[in-house]
Amino acid sequence: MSNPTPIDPAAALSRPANLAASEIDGELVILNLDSGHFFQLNPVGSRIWEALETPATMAELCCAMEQRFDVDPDACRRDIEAFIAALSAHALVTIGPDAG
Amino acid sequence: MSAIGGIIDWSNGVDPAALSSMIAAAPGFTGSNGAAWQDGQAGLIRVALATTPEAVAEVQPWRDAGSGMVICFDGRVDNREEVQAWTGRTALPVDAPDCAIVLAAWQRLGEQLLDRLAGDYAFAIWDAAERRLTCVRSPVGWRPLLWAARRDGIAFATEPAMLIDGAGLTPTIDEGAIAEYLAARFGCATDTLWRGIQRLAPGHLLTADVHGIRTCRWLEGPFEDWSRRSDDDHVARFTELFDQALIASSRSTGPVAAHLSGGLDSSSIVCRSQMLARAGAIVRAPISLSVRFPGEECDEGPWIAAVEERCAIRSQMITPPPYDWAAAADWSARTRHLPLRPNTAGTIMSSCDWLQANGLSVLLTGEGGDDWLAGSFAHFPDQVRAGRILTWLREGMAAGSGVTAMYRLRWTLSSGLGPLVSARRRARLLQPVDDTQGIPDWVAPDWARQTNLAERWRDISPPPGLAMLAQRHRYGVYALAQRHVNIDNILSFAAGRGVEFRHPFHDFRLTRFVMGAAGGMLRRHGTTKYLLREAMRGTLPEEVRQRRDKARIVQPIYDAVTARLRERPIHRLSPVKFGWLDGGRLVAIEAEHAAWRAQGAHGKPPRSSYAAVWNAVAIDLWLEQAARIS
Repeated sequence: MSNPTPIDPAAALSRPANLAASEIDGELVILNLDSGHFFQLNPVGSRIWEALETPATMAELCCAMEQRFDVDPDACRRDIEAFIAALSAHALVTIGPDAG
Repeated sequence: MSAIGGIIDWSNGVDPAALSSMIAAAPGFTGSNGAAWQDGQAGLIRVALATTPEAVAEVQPWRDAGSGMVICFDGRVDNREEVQAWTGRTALPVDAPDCAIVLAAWQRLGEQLLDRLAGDYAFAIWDAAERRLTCVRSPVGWRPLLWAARRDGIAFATEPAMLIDGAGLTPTIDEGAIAEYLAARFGCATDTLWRGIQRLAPGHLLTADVHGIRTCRWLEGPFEDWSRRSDDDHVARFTELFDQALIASSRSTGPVAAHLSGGLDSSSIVCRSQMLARAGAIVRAPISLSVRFPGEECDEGPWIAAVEERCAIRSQMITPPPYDWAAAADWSARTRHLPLRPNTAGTIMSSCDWLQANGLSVLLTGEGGDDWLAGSFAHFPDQVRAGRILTWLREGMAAGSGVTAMYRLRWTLSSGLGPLVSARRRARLLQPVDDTQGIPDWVAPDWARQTNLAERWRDISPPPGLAMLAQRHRYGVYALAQRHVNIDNILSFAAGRGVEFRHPFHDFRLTRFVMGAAGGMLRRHGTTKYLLREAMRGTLPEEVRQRRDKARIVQPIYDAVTARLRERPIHRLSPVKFGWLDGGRLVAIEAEHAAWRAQGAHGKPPRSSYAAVWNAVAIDLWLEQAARIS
């Protein structure tokens, strides 16, 4: 994944309330209850989305994923930023102002 | 059920003695009700069980003098007037036998007739001009038709004994099909327990000519989609078609009987038939027959009494005899069938005895209600695809009780989206046999490999490519292979007693409608058979209409198997001796169920499958008596 738009490490990430998700064969399927559109995440994406069950900052999310997947921190941050941007584009995650 | 059969021999012509032997091997042959037709390469036979007024004086095999075509026909056509109109011929009288109507229509329409032919049938037509045999089975397949390729032709018949003891076939056993049966997941629609004897699947036709033998599925749909129609529309249409099915299945040479168990399905048939009789829509209401199991968990006396009171009738109580293993062995040896399952055998036997003693030949049953009307959630993905998100979520969230809202939401998502995003889940929804469960633990792994059991399940033909997943899922009822091993022997037994079973819930016009009905009309708020329950308002007693439970008749099978195992313990059963099954596992399963039975069979049964034990006992007897292997 590439990330053209860095996300502030202090930005608050949260799931919108109009989504529902279920795990199907190890992958999450998320339904937008308003539009009826649904999205399927691969296993890594599923774990990232699950980590947002409670709102977190971008930095907290990257830290959690680095610990879970044992990856290079810079690469991890870039990939997560790209993924979060994609989720945001489909209204699957809300990127709020700085948590602090 | 009449028996039909025939032989085509392209090289040597047909031996008349073989046709006579086929007639003699048919169930219900009395010495005078069998007839053969023969002309060189082709010979057809029929052993009559006349159950409609038009069939009493009919001549079969029936030959059309103009075309030279000959038909042998088992069954009943329910839209006679329509079919006669399509033939465009006025030569047939209004009371022409069904076989003549079908042959005339076939000459006019050919295979196009089949989608329009309502009824319950199997037939074969020999086209002398084209030197071609065509065999056809109706969609649900309550009229068996088996066939076997011969060196220079083909033999076909209703019964295995007609092919083996009649036509002189010498088939070996088919261990692959036996493995499916012993694993309690019989999924192949065309294999029988005999290698070389094939079943023509329901909704299929077979063509044999000098170029070879071919089979194909003629029942492909489409089925009208009712998913956006209102509740009232559904109820009105269902009621109309159910009444039509009851009227059609009541066409008989005399009074008709109906089995009344006290369950929703059989009670609907009895109560609705009573109303139709009072309205003059059918000549007379069926005589209801009931079996009681006093003192047992499965006894349905109070429900039967409620129907009796509602209809102001007295149901004829019949007493099932204890399972007779000597008689079962003798019958299996003569017919080459599996023995009857003890949980239904008593009811079947005593019903047939009662009908025979009282001069009746037709028994209506509630068979098919569970298959067609219980409903499922297979329509959820269709709702998602159609963008009917709110309808889907509303139905899903209302389906369960006793669980949290979050659990229900996740389940709804999984049910609606799973088959769309996961090939595995889609296959599990559509495949007749769920092969993801693996090989059952009572089947020996080595033998499962030798018989390619897993591959057999994986290779089962999927349903036709209908547009909606729910329709593809429901199509499995038409193609239910398990029905053959559980029902063909019952049909044969009844035919041997001069009795024909009819199943109004399997009526083709009714099932075509159900194929396209809205899923939420079949199962709603977790309630199965919602549509039937709504249609039966004011017809059924309310306590029956609203009942959610169902009697599980287990006592007869436990008692019969226990008696058999006293004589022939599990380690002496052939499937165990041959190394096909794990005897130790069967002993453990049997012990679990025996303990439950000893405590009165109350509440939930053990989780293990008792079918493993019964199927082993049944195959043991079949191998010894029918296949003569031990």
